[in-house]
Amino acid sequence: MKNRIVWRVTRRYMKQNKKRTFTAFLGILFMVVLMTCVFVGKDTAIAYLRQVASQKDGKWQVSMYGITQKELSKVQSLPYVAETAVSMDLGYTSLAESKNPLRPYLFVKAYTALCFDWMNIHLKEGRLPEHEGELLISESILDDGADLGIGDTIDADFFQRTITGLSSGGSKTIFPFYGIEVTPGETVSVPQNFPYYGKNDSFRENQTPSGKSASYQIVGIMEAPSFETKDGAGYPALTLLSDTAVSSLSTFNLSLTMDLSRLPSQYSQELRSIASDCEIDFNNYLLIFSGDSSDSTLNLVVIFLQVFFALIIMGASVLLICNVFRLSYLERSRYLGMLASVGATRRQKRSSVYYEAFSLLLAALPLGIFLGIGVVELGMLLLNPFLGKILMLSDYLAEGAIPLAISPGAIALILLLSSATVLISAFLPARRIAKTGPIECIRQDTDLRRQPARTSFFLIRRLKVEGMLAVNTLRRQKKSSRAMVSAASVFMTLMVVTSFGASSLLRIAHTKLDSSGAAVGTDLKSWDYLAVGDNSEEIHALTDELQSSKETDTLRLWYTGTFLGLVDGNVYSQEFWDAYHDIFNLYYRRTLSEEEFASLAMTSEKVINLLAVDSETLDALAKDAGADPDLLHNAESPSALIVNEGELSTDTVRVWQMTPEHYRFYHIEPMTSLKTGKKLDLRLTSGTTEETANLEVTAAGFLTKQQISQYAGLSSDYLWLIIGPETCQKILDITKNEEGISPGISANLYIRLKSNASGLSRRLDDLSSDSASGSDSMIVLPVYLTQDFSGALYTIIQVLLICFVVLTSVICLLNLYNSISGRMTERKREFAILLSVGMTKKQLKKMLLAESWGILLQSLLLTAIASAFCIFLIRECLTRIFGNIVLPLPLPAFSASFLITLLAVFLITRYSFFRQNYSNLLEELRRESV
Amino acid sequence: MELLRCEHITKIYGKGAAAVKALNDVSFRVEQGEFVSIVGPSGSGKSTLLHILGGVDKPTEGKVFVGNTDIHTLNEDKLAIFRRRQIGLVYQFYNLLPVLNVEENILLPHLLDGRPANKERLEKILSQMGLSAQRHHLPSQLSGGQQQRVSIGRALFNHPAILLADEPTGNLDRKNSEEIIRLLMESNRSQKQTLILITHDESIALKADRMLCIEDGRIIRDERIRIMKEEIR
Repeated sequence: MKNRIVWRVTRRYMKQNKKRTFTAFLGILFMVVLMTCVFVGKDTAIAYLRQVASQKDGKWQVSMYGITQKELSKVQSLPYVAETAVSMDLGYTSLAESKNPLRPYLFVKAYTALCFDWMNIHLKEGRLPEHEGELLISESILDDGADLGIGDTIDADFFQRTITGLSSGGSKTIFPFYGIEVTPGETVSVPQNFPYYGKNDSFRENQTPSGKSASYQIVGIMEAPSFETKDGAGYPALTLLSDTAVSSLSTFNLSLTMDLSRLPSQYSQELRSIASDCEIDFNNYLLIFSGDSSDSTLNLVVIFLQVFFALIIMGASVLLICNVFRLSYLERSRYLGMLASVGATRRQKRSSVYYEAFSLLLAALPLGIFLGIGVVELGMLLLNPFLGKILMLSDYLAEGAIPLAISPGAIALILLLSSATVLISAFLPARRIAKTGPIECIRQDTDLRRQPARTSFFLIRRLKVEGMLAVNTLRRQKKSSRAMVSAASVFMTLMVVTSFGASSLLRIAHTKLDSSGAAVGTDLKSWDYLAVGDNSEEIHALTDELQSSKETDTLRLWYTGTFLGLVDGNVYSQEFWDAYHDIFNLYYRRTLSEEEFASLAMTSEKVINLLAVDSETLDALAKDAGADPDLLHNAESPSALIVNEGELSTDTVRVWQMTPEHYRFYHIEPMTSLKTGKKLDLRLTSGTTEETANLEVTAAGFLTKQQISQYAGLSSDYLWLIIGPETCQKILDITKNEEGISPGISANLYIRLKSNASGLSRRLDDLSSDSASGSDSMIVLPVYLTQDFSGALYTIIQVLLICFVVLTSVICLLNLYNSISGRMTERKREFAILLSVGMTKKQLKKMLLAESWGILLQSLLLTAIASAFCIFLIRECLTRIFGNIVLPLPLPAFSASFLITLLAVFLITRYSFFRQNYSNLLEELRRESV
Repeated sequence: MELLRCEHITKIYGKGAAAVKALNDVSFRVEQGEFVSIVGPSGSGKSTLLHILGGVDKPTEGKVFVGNTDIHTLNEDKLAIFRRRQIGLVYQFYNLLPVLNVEENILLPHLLDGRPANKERLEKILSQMGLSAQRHHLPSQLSGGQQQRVSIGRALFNHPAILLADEPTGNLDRKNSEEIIRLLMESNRSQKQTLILITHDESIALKADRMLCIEDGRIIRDERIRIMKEEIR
């Protein structure tokens, strides 16, 4: 009751000072919009990424293979399991119609209806099986030339595949990629994706009948499903598993989806323990975005970054709203002083501040949430066409509109955090005003320093009157200036830190998505077509043809040879072996002795990769490495540049079928112990005699990944040698077999056409469609088709993170505008005085310019300190969680943020000053003061 | 010698039905070194007239000549230069810059003119205004009388031809008021500066050479004080 009169006065004051009230309201509104964008945007982006990720392997989240009814009921009783779907592998059957000698079988799976949806089965023709006697076959059967179609019948006699080692194959045959080792006389079963090797000296393939047989009618043809491997011995085919049949199965496969909001952190261990010895698979592509994957390290990274971003945004919001309130109450302290002079207590003054803050918040909350959701919705509406049309990723995008993910939890969080932010922000000015006496309030000089200030004639001489005024304003009205300094710093810091956080996340995503081993990543945006082939003569013929065409702009022929040769283990650096040892320790879940490790990891020799580049690129790289290019072009005495950086992780180093204790990443520098001028003995396999051929290669120089990054991104856990065309030809000559193919070496011809190259473009398109079904040794592709799923997902994450950085920056920029224009309004009287004593507008402009520089320099210093602290924190945490990943300093973001702030501060100051009506300034001169 | 001439000054604030005529066809002349007091009830247009004379505000109609120059034909920059060189303005509420100390506030028009700080003149003004001890104080650390003395010091520093004072004692006690008027009159006499002063205090108004009485935006009386005093006598 006592507060009612204070509130009424406050309300009236807010109405009368509409501009100031509006400025404070805008500040709160921006904060709510920012919070909404962060929380709703995050949920929507995660839902969107899940939708995109489900295009790869499907909507299932966990699959268990070979489980029993008992385990099924255990899984179904878990509170976080939402839905389950059963499938079963019926086994292999011979496919007489197959025209591919390496794929002589059909592998038949039976799906319940839900599985067809969850496993991303897309019909190409016909329909899905509706009865147990109906079959859906993969289009790759027809692509390989089999004469099969809808309506045809397949008689299946199912069998299991095993292999038995033969004595003629040596003591042991190892299949490292399948985790199989077979000694002569031993019989082992093989996994589903095990290729068909035909008759050979090393092992014999056995077919053990399962006793099941069936006759199927083909009712549909599906696009090759994601689980189909091109080198698998059997083409996939699907039939229906009726719900009634499920109850009679003794063992089967189970897929499930979960309610992620109810997921306990240890869920993967619980499911693993239920699965016991059965194989279990987590669709981590789908689960990782919400930090629910089976990889606890990655979950921690995702959760850490989410919490970090939320904290940063909240911290920035508090600072920004504090500024707005501080400016507002500096002006309103006058009426609060008047209230105090007629007997208002400290509590009543405080309540006036809170009343205003929360009445503005009350209005800003619904509007801010509404606007924030609108911004996210607009962003998502623009995102799909942008990704699809501009980045050409439509094949990877989910169809239809992207739904907003607005959870009650997110809304509650926005309400809670916004209220907390406003409370914290209002608390400080409320306390200060409550403490300030009536006269100080009315005089409005609480921001001024209390001590006498000496005149600096030196300053006047050096900076003239405008500089002196600017310096004195910044020095003697610290709190008011600090508002703008902190608004600018928050903007810059947020831009730098979010850019760094986003690039760190991208780097991690890139490392995880690109963990396939050796790969050469080239920026294909500047090329039109890419021809890849094993047969160098075929590629040379195409190169000659293109070179003779006037429509060709540029050609670049590179060769890559992954796992091409072997070198002595001591060519690799101690740092490399230490990291390798650590990874083995993680797999074996104990510390291995040096001897154990040496025998398990076979450290005596190691694989090496080759990249043969064109002469021009080689010369440029030689210059970067400080090597002699002539040496690199001399095939008589082969030399190479060595990429002296590498990466190892528990994803790239696989130890049989073991699972590591947790994920760990290692950035290794140096990768080699070699010095410039030293030779390494490269052991190649002759293509004709299959005997080892030694090639002595001199280390001409060393390159960092940064130096080579403008040409190619090399990812591998092995050394890369960069050689020239001459040395490459020598290696091709050694490794070439009778068919002219050097196993393990592929030629990459990058093609750029002139703008009007319609004829050549048609020819390459024809080659492209031919290569899709024809020649095995050369594939021609327009570059937009070269992006794989991981690349597409990486691009989408990149775009989403850029959106996040831009969005937070824009909102902070609006707040910066609010702070500066608020401060300009506050200084109207000061400007009026200056003009009345004869200051010209030009001088006023100069003064404001000098002040802006002062604000910028102070903000720059603050930003440097705050950003350095946050970046250090992110780096430390990510290094501890993930591994010693190289996270480049966000210097471009820092420079960009400084430039934007510089422009913003100058332009907003200029705009805010010049939009003020000069004649209105006179009114300020008449304002009453004490 | 005539220094200031106003011809048919009219000032209208607002438009249409909300228009208010603050000054209505005001004309008068002021000689160099003359001390003119302007009196009149609140809202009669005194301050508006003073701002127009000082080039801070523009008349809706009419001309203001200082010497032979119509000051309102000058562009913004020239008008600002005119203000800092020819006009010294003293307000009732001092209008000092809160971030500048006494010295800096006094030096302001001089520095704005791009001239180096004249320390000799500064010392003289400080001692004349009795502010030597408070030279490094900020306005918030000064009393009302002291602030007004800073304001006068600032107005006098550039030896302006015209001193315009808008109720300079309206906010001060008797002792301080007398001191302020003494300072202004001393400058008026010693420097032959023209002083135009708005006041509600009759005793101050009567100290002037001439008194203009304004009501409803019009000069209703323009009298020489000596003649007036004789008449009263």
